[in-house]
Amino acid sequence: IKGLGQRKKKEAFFRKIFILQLVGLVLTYDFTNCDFEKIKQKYQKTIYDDLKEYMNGSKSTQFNSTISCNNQPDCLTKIQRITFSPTHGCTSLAKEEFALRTNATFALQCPGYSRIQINNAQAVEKRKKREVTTNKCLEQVSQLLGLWGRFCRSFRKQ
Amino acid sequence: MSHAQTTGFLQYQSVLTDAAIAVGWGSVDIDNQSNGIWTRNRLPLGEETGVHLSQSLVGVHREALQVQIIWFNFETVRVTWNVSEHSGTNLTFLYTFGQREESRPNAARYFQRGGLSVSTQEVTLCRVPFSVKPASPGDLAFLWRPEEVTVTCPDLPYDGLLYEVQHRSTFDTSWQSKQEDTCNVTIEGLDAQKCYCFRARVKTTEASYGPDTYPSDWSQVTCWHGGQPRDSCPDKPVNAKFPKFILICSLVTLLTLCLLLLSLWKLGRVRKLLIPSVPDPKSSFSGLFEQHRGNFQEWIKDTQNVAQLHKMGSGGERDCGPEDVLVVQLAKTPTTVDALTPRTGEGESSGGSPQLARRAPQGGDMVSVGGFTFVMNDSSYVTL
Repeated sequence: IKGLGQRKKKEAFFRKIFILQLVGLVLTYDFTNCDFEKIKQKYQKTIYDDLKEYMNGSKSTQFNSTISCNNQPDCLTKIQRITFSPTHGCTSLAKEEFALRTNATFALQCPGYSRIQINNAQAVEKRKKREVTTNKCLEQVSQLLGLWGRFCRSFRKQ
Repeated sequence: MSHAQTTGFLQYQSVLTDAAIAVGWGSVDIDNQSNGIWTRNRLPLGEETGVHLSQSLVGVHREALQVQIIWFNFETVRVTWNVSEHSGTNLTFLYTFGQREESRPNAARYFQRGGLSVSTQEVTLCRVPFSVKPASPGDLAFLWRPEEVTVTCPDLPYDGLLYEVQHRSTFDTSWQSKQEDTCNVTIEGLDAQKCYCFRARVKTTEASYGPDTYPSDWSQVTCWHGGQPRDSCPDKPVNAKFPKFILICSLVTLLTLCLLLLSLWKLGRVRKLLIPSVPDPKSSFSGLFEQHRGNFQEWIKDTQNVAQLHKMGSGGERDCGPEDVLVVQLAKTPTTVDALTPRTGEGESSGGSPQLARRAPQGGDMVSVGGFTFVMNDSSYVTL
């Protein structure tokens, strides 16, 4: 009976851990403690070029920039949502080069940011065929360019 | 509900019917009337401010109006539109401001600050951000060191900008450029003896501000020479060099002409030197071709009184060829020369070359050539 009790305790413990991990997956990551300067530098050096390449000559100005952000954590939150969350008409952005770099940058510059999020997104995408770059995807990437730009402009020199 | 009235933003706020470009400037002053009291507040134009052109006639699109919105130095917005194609059309420009919410294109009013009522036909004709044009950098400072200068100026309080400095010397045909993220640009490889002019401007990066931006105007050009400011750099000293150049060219041309003339004058002699002509015996041997038809032997016989010597082709003697024809001048002197005394076999070399053998002279030297013996005196000579 003692052994059974101990086993149940262990099971409960591991169940809690598992639930906490699930909760962690579900809850939005708080970007407040990220190194925004380094994230900005990474964007300016590499991620921007990836986004432009994805646009492949399409002008971002042809799409209305309808999404904005108020501050740096808010901008990163929205960037993450648009980059990694599939939407109707565009479900494959998470596999693109800019998305991989974005995830790597967040993982490196944001303490506690987990790679599980992108792994889950990739797991979902593996079951589907890669979509042709749709107009909706171009519009999403145009929004990302706007958000990233807003993120950069939020830096003020002292 | 307070009534808000905006001022200072537009030159023309009334209905526009003229075919003209209408321009609106400035920041936004908001006059609020509440309970009969007007108060004015200035609203700084920032990232989240939107500008809208309201049109009383639906169907006129922004492209037809050629709307241009420029955000000058992050402070002032200039909105320009062209009504020339819509003369007679009533257009009213209204502008709103405040926090920009997520996309609600059909919202009747989503700018709440100031309480300005907006038309439901409002069409957003701007994007955030506006096309930015930074202000020209001012207060340029120059720190000179040997062979380099550092140009500095106050940075604008915004990120994502590039500060470009151009310089040019009197010997450069175009400006040379260098840019940095901050207004602290060091230019190396300068010559302290040369005069340089500098100018600077601010540009936005596409990653931060998008592709539709404008660089700032160039700052005022400042010139420096030897670390000291100058009003301007002297123009390329063409005048000082020009006479010297002309002088040198003239001397060279003159020299060339002299040499040419000299060459022409001596052309005959030079030509003879370089390409010697074949000697014409006509001049040396008068009558050789005219009277003796080139027969030299006859000419000699006739003119020079020389006895023809026949070559002996046998007896071990070698036929030496025409160049070995012997010409012996017979001298008319009291002591005559015994010219022909054929000799055979004596004194002849086995090689066949003629040898000279001497006998006892009888009034002169004896010369024996090819079997013939001659008595020579001072006025005689033998030509081989």
